Amino acid sequence: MSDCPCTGELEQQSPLSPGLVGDDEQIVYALIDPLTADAGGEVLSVLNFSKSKLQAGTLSVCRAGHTTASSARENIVGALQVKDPSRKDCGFLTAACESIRGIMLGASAFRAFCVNDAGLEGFEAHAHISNSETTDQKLLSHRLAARGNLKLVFEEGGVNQEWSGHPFRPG
Amino acid sequence: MAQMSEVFEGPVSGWAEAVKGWDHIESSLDQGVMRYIYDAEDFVTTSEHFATSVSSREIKRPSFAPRGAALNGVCESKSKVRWAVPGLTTAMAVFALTTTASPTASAANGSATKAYHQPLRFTGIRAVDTKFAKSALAGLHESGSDASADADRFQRAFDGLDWLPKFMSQDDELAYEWADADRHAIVSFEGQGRISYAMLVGGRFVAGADDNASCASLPEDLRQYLTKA
Repeated sequence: MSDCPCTGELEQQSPLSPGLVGDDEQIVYALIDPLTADAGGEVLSVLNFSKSKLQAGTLSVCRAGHTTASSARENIVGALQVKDPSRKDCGFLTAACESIRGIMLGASAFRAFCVNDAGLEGFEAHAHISNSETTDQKLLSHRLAARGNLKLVFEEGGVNQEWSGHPFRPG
Repeated sequence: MAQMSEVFEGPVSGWAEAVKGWDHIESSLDQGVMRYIYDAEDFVTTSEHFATSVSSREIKRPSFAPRGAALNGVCESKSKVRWAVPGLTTAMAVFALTTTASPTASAANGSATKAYHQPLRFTGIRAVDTKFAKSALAGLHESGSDASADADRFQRAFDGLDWLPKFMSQDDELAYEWADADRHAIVSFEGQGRISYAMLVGGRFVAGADDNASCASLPEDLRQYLTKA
């Protein structure tokens, strides 16, 4: 994926990460009602893929191959439930990084999203999805369509209710 | 007379603005969580307007207490709120509202859990005629939310459509969404009168054709998409 004007994928962003995010990695999007899903995880909207977070480059995801399922759950769901116990774990979605990076801004030559490493202390698998750095204002609707396609890419594999086994690293 | 206390979760900045004028509601905002207390005698009226922004409200462990009673007599509830235009959602008239519980019923059986399921249909803000809604609108407009005003204005653009959208909000983004088994369209408000929009075609989302679409009118390709048989 070399057709992205962003630089974040070319250099490791966090010293705590295991390295750049590879195209062949499985990316995990946690479903947490009401933060990233609604109605107990049964409803996922394009809006759940937050425009502001994508713009800021801080839409948090997880690199399945660099964490165990239990660690992922603890560091994603557990951390958020500490702040508010009423937040509900609704499972997770996965998508191949290549599929996310393959979403284009309409018929343009520009990719819509970048997937960058963003390792944290105790959770090296943390990563970010961000909008690509293309700033053409005419692409606003293409950005929205791309978010819709991001949702479709994640939904393709269906909801995983249990944090265990594939695609995570064995515990 | 009883009091209720509720916690609403979600982006509430606009909401906080909206309820400032509601002198009969004691409210506080702490770390993104809105809490408010109001007299139960206002509950029915209040509930109708809150319901416009609550697709499913669950009242947990309700118990009711006379005014001035100990805190443990206060009803607590948590509502999952899908905020549309902050504040404005409360101003939309409820076209159909049913509830399966009432505060009185809850009080009668003590600690029973009651669930409110409120099928809603938005009919637009023109139907609003209560002090609650007017206060909410006043708060909204005073807050000066550009996208909120655009979303308000856009309602007139889809006047006459049989298929009405769902109003949505997340992380300060406001949008209308139409979705059924075959079609899915979304309009997002970008501020300064501009909208972005996309439609599901052939299994993937495609951008609307109008690069300069405005909240003043429904783009023609979107209108055709929404009205095709």
